[in-house]
Amino acid sequence: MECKKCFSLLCEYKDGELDATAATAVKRHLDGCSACSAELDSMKNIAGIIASVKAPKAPDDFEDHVIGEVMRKRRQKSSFRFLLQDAWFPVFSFIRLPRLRLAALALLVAGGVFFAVKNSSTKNYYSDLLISDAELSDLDSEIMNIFYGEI
Amino acid sequence: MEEKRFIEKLKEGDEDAYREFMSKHKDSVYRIIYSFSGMASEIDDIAQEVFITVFRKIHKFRGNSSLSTWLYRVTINKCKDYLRKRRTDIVELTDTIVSPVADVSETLLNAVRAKALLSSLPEKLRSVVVLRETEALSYDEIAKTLKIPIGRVKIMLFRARKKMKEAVLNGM
Repeated sequence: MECKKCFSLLCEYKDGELDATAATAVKRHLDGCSACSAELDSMKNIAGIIASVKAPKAPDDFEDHVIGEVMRKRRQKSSFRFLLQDAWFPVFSFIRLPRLRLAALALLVAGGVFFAVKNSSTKNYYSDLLISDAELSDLDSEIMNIFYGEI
Repeated sequence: MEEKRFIEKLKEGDEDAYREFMSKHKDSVYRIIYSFSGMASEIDDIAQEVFITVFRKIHKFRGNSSLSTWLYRVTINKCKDYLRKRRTDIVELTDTIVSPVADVSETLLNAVRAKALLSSLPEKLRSVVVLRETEALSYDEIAKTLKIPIGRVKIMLFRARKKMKEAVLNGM
């Protein structure tokens, strides 16, 4: 085996990922090649340095904290589901997905608001056109003045 | 079969199963986070987020890979998200390297060297190295964890080791 070939297989050799035949061929080459052996040693040293990292320990209450958070989020989710259940919104009972149900509900609310606003503005429009009795009598007298004045 | 039953328990929200899972894997999760992000100050928060995410999304786990492989993937992704949010890359690691004192122990010095070596790698290469060297995962497990072909794992490890050797030769 040439050094170039051995070098390309060194990573897998070090990590025990080569099949038996290839591993034996690499080992035979390493026994007679100081340069490739030095390369393997350097690789092992670097790997050893990285493996020596000591991470901080988890706090004693780590599990309690995580479980507390999971339960809290689950309660939030279940209360949300309670608000969207069939009993409250029988109209949407055919929609099985909560998100779709929420979207349908939002659409309904938005539609309601839109029509409410639209209707109220229409009422305002008509109310502007209405003439009170006093205004009508003023208008009558004005018209009478115009006609009788001319005559 | 044993793992399938355990996964079912997790899916049912069994608190004892949660505790068992965390006590079995929390050291690995802490090691990966610390090696990958290098930040000790936020490690508890990231680790908690990892387990909360796993428990909340366990119903989506189809069992195509092992549970630990899935956990490692979530851990690496959380680290990446975290680093992206913070827009920083192993700040604390380089901070520690600034002034190594004379009486520092060999272990501590090695830890400082390890951090310097890892910080010399881009995120993708770092994730492969961390899974291989700190968790001793096989190439197949690394490929499943990172959802990449096994050939890519080999290439990435080769490149990462070359880069780390260059870093050593350049005095880190």
